[in-house]
Formats: sequence, structure tokens, C-alpha cells
Amino acid sequence: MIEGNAILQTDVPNPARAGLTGPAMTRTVADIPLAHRLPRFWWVAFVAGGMGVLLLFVAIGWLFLRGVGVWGINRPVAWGFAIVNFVWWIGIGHAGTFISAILLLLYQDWRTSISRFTEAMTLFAVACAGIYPILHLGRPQFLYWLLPYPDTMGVWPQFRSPLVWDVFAVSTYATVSLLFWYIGLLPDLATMRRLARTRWQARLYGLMSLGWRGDAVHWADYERLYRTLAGLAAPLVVSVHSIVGLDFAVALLPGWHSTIFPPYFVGGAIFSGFSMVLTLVIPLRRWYHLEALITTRHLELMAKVLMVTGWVVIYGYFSEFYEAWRAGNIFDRYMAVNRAVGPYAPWFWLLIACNVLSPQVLWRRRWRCNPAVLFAVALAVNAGMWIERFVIVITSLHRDFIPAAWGMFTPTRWDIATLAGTIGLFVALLFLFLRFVPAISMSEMRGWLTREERP
Amino acid sequence: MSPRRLALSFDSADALRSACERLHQAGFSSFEALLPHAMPAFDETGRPGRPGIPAIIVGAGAFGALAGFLLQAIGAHDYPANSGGRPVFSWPSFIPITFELGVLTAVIVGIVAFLWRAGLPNYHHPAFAGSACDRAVIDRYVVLLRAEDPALATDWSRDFIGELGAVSVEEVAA
Repeated sequence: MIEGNAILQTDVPNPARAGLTGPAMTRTVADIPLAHRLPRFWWVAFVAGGMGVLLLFVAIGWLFLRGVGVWGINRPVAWGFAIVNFVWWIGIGHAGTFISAILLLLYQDWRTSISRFTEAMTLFAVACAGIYPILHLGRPQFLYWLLPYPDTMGVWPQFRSPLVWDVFAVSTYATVSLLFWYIGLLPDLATMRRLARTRWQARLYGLMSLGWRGDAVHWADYERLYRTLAGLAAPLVVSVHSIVGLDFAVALLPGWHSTIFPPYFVGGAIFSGFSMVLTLVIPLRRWYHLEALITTRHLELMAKVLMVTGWVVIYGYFSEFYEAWRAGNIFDRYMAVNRAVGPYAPWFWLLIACNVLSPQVLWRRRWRCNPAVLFAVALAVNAGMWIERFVIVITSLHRDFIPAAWGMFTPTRWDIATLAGTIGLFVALLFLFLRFVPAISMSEMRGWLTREERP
Repeated sequence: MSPRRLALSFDSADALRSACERLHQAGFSSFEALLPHAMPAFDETGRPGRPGIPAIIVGAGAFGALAGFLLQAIGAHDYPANSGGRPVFSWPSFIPITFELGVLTAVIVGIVAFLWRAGLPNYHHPAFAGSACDRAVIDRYVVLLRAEDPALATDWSRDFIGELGAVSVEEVAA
């Protein structure tokens, strides 16, 4: 590997300096799933997530029985919680590939500590996201109509529609993220096989590791494969949320029909993704005593990414209002006024508080490095990004052009149950991951530790 | 008698590197190195170059993108829905899916090519037979020599092996 660009070097304390050696690191990381420490904590969290999954099943079952009318959607707001939640989850699912692909290509060693975990988070967030558009179809049993297949009706999907682009973008992103994650896991699964304490563990990890043995020839190909995949995943991350942005921008509605959407959405996605990473990493590193591997410096760097992407989002907000004023379109101007003082104004101002004001706390190094403060900011940003999508979707739809066609959107209990259900699914999957998969890449960490040991 | 192999374990990457160089100089032709992590710019056998994984990925990506583009062009021609007055062959709107399918094909083919070349999955290998060389997936750097390697036949080579500084030397069944 070419040693990194000096400008991009970040002085993350290498765990080797703290006296952590390869075998000790391997033990620390591998023991989380193998020894299953903290069983009570794990079970409480997993069962809480599992309850959410049950709620999700009930909500989806009711939806299948009664149709999408159980949600609060109607004319004019036909895109309700389903789309808000979809965009929120898919945005959260952007941090993983950003960290593992883009930061890998930029030689940011500090990503090693958090990449595996955030990639898993990405997968689960994308899984949660993917549920919504399918449910929102109304007739989800015809999901396959979205794909080009030789049907007897002679109909093809509308390839000019961003909604069809979404099908390809999200399914490609889910597949590539899963494969990238799994390929990254191979050497670690072999380590887990070797360290397994029971026969079923050895069998399971052995099977999943595909017989990886660390052959130097394999490693050479593996490194090339991994970097090339990262090179492909990097533009993919940008493409996915750009296409989600185009879902809005291609529509003619005031507040949506704007070229700012793709970059604004990508910035927002990484912003929300990092806030979710911080929300999860801060408690977990404490509970599992991973402070030597995920240091305060890591948290600080993530806080800085949060600030930078936060300013991209702020520019997006500014641009929306500036364009509404500058272009002089009466409908766009009304949309801007309606957001700030209309019936959904409290949500808009809450959004400003969460996404614009709260990250400014991080200008002070002392607060940026304080896990409690950072955790609070991350929670605020998570909520803020959800509200942002709510404001974008609802305020544009509910009052568009003709006042006679205006209306209001009120979520039903089933809207809320479905959102809570996917949060439960996310938590349940995350804890299954912690239970069975090493949460930090041991092989990459080993490479990092040995690089430090050499003069 | 079944072929046997000699597993030399080292406790650092540098020890492995120098051992491999000395083995090469001494005329050992075929041996494998097992590493606990990627070691860039390390090629223990100096075997002749094959078309690289990146080249395969680029080729597959180009194929996938082309196929994806044709899929859309054919679909739009076969079922000419008028959408916003766009022409039937409205190629700019085909770009996103072309890109996505190119990436998807490239990634899947790249991974399959990697596994194919590495001979994985492979659950039977001498590396799994010995306790010392199986530590390569944790912290040891292991060299696997073929016991029938002609260079290993003499007493001199036995001594030479001893001088390489291995933490342990173990015979494993192949």
C-alpha cells in the first residue's frame, strides 16, 4: 500500500501505541461473539428489537388485509410516512459504504475501527428502507412488474422514471454492500473458526469463511479486489441518494423541482448516516470496552464529518429558500412561506433546531470530544433528518398549485407502528450481528498494528 | 507414503519476509506463505503474472453497462410509452440504470473471479491439518514447504531450515 497522502493523514492513536498487540486485539474483538459476554444486556436489547419486529409483522399484516388506506395517505399527500421513512433509512445506509469505500481510498486508517460495524448498519438500514416502497405499491404482490422480464403482456418498465431507477439503484446498492461486507469478513471468519469454542461455532464459521487460510497469493488478489470494489462502491454511494433526490426533483411540485436535490440529498445521507453511527458506537464502545480500538479521536473525526455534511445540508436549506425568492415563481415562494409559517411550521423549526443549530455545539473541541454531548447531538440529528424528509415530502404535497386541491396529512397509528417496527427490525438485526460477527475487522486491524510496529 | 509438508511458523512479518528471500536464494521452488493480514508488495513465489482482478472487473463492468443500456433501449423501442414527449430513444434517461447494472455486474463477476482463482471455497487443505500453520489466521506467519521439494532432500537443507529462525517447525500431512 502506498503510505497515505500527508495532507489527509489523521493522527489517530494507533492501538499498538497503547500496548495493544495483534493477539490481544483479536481476543478482545473475537470474544464479543464467541464468549457472549453481557448476555443479559444482549437479550434485553434483542428482545426489545424483536418486539418491534412483531409489531412490524402486525402492521404489515393489517396493511395486506386492508390496503394502503390504513395509512394516513390520501389526495393530495399520497407519499406519506412510507416515503419519509424510506428516504430516512436509505440515508442512514450511506455512512457504511462512505466509511468503508471512500475513506479506504483516501487512506484514512481510522476507518478500520468502525468500518465493519457501519457496513452492517448500512445493510440493516437498507433492508428497512426497502420494505417501504414495496408496501407503498398498494399491490406488493406485483413487485416483479418493476423488473424487466419477458412477460406475456408485452409491457416494459418505464425506464425514464426515477422511481424505476430507484429499483435498480437500491437493489444494486443492497447487493453490492452485502457482497463487499462479506468479502471483507472472509479472513475474520477464518479467525473465528480457529478460535471457536464449540463445535457448531467452528462448523458455522468454517463454512462461512469458504476455507480461507491466509494464503499470500489469495491476499494479493484479495487486496486488489477489495480496493477495486471500493472504487466501484464510492460512486455507487453517490448515485443511490442522487437518484432518490431525483425522485423528487423530476416531479414538478414546488419545493421539489430543483437541481440542488441530488447533492443536497447525498450530503444529508452522509450526515444522517454518521449521526446514526455515533448513536450506536458511543454506547457500544462503552458497554463492550472497546475504547482502545474506538478512541475519542475517532469520535472527534466522526463529529467533524458530521459538521461538514451538516453544512452541506444547511446550504441545501438556504438554496431552497434563496431559489424560491430569486426565481420569483409564486408557487415556490408560497411553498417557502408555508414551510416557515404554515400548518407544519413547528416541524420545520424543530428541523432547524436539530439539524442547523445542534451540530454547531461541535465547534468546541471539548464538547466534540465529550461522548455524552456528541451522543445528544447525534440523537438530535437523527430526529432532525427524519423531520427534514417529513417536511420535504408533506409540505410540498399538501399545498401545491390550486388551493381547492389542498389538504392535510395526519399519520395514523399504523404509520407509526410501521416506523417503530422497522426501528425494531434494525435493532434486532444489529444485535444478531453483534452476537455472531466480529464487529471490528481483525485482519485490517492486524495490518495496522504491524505497520505501526515497524520502523 | 502420502506427500508431506513442512510448516515453518514465524512471529513477525519481517521474519517471514527474510525467510522467504533466503528460501528463494537457496533454490526452493514451490512453497506457500500463509499470512494473518494483507502484506502489500509481498509475493513469496514470484509466479508469472495473470490478468489482474481489476482488468476482469473493468471488462465485466463495461459488459454489464452495455447490456443494461441495450436492455433499456430495446425496452423503450418495444413498448414506446410517451413520457413527457420524450423521444423513444431518450438515452440520457438511461444513464442511471446503465451505471447501476455496470457496477452490479462488475462486482459480482469480480468476486466470482477472485474465488475461482483462489480455488475457494476449499475446505480441505494441509493448512488445516497442523495446529501451527492454522495459527496463520490469528497471529502467525507461516511458510508451507513441500517435503518432496528436491531442495529439501539433503542434510544441508535440513540445517538451513533450522537457521531460518522459525518459532516452530512442524510436519503436516497433505
